[in-house]
Amino acid sequence: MTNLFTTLSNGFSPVSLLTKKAVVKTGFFALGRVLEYLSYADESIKAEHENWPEGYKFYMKVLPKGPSLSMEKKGEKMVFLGTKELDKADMVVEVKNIDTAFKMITAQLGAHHVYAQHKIGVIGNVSDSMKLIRMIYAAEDYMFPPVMSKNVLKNVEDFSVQRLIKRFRVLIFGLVLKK
Amino acid sequence: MLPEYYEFYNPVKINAGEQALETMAYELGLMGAKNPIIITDKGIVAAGLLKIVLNSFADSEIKINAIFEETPPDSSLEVVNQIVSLFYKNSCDSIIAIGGGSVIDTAKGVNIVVSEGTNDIRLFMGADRLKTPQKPLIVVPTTAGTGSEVTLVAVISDVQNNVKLPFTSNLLLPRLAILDPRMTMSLPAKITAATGMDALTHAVEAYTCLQKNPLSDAHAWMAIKLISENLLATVKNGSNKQTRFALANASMMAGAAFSNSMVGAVHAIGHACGAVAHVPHGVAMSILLPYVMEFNFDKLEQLYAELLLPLVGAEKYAKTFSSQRARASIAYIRDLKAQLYEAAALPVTLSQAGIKKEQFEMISNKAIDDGAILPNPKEVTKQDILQILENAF
Repeated sequence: MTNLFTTLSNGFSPVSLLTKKAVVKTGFFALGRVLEYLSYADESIKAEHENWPEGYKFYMKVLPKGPSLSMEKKGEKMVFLGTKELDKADMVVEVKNIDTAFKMITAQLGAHHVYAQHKIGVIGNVSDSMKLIRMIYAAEDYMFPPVMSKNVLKNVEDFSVQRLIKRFRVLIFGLVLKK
Repeated sequence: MLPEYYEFYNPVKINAGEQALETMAYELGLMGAKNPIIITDKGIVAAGLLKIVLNSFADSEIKINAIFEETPPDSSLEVVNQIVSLFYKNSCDSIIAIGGGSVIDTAKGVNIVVSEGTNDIRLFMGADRLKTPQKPLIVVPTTAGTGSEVTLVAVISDVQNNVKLPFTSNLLLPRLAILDPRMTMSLPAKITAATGMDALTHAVEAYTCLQKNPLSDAHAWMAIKLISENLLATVKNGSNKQTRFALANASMMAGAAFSNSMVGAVHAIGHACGAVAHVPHGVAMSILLPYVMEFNFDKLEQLYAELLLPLVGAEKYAKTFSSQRARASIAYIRDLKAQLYEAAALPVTLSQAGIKKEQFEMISNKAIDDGAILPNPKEVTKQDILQILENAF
């Protein structure tokens, strides 16, 4: 799987561009749903957005014409609004190209590397973007198997049965059933 | 090992050395500018440094159309707007900043407003928000620490809303930096020590953080060498032009390094110490550096070991067992701190800097959301920050 993603990362044909866009869009969809679930089911993620005001919106957009991941705070949770960019938001994270987004979503490149490599830009409050990145980390930790998440996280939690059960719960209730 | 990808950008022309100031008139002419505004602060005026700069324009076609001498220690929106009015009123076409970090950040802020033709600088807050080439900006640093003369960052305080507004853009980089030994000669020993440790921290973090690259490494390496060879000597004897000039160069190179490779947890925690307890930035850097190095040790042992060479020189490096070099680097920095305390009363602990334990919670809350926390090579949690603060207390 990782080899397939690496091969696609290096491709430049129109087909590979479309494939990358499709993979990123699907990845954003999955990430959005998992984030929504974790935003109220995981105490550490809940703590990240608890000080954001009701109606706080953000989107992460792939430049120049890629998909977006849009969310809004409603009550105690962050609601996934879809993969289109919003007209107005409190924070916008711009991923500079589809290749970077593809590498992020296929666990080839961590958010901290993307940030350090100046491959994303932030419009809005920097401290809010730190909170968002920690939320994405936590979501990726659940979404990717350890063999992949070690590429994108600075710290991967040790294997435990409890953790495995939690991972399945997140994937089933968050991703599949959207509870 | 080379990074998978990196960016390095530093188009700032550096005129450095004896009578570097006297090149400014010619350089302004090359930029098509004739009527600059000078932005500086009262301390610079009192130290006679403004006069030196003004004298350097004698017999030139440059006419200084306005001078602003009231820049406060923290750049603010109000001050930026005040200077902008002065800039327009006097038909200025360029900016000369003479001072430390605050003056330079203020000048960058003024440049954003006058170049973008806006009346609200906040619209340009964030990364890469500037779209218009900026007016010619010349920076004459009078401290050797911030490296702001070669960084793409400016931080302006919004006092009304009690927030600091960060601006980062390649367009913010000055056109020219003047490193003239005369400009740092009057710096008091304690500030020399603090700003020198700030530059050392820039260089150490640039060499060890996530986006280190061959170009930033080269700058950071030489900065560390110059600081370790000259900082203590300058603090003990501030009238030595050679060592002052070496520190000015080190600060500039460390600035170029971290502007591209970013900084890490020392800066994240140090920024928070400044915001919560008003600890001067250089003092916070000096106190925290060895403690954060200890924290990062398991991830960065190899790089810390490499840094022993520029820190202590070839002979001592060769005499240190390879397995002990990383620890020796940290020990060297601790020892340097102790000597700076003796020579200039530079605080070595957070308690000496006036921080109270009750402030730890607030500091850790701010530090964990600081942009510098992410490029730190090791994951940092709030609990880790509290432990570092406890250790440094």
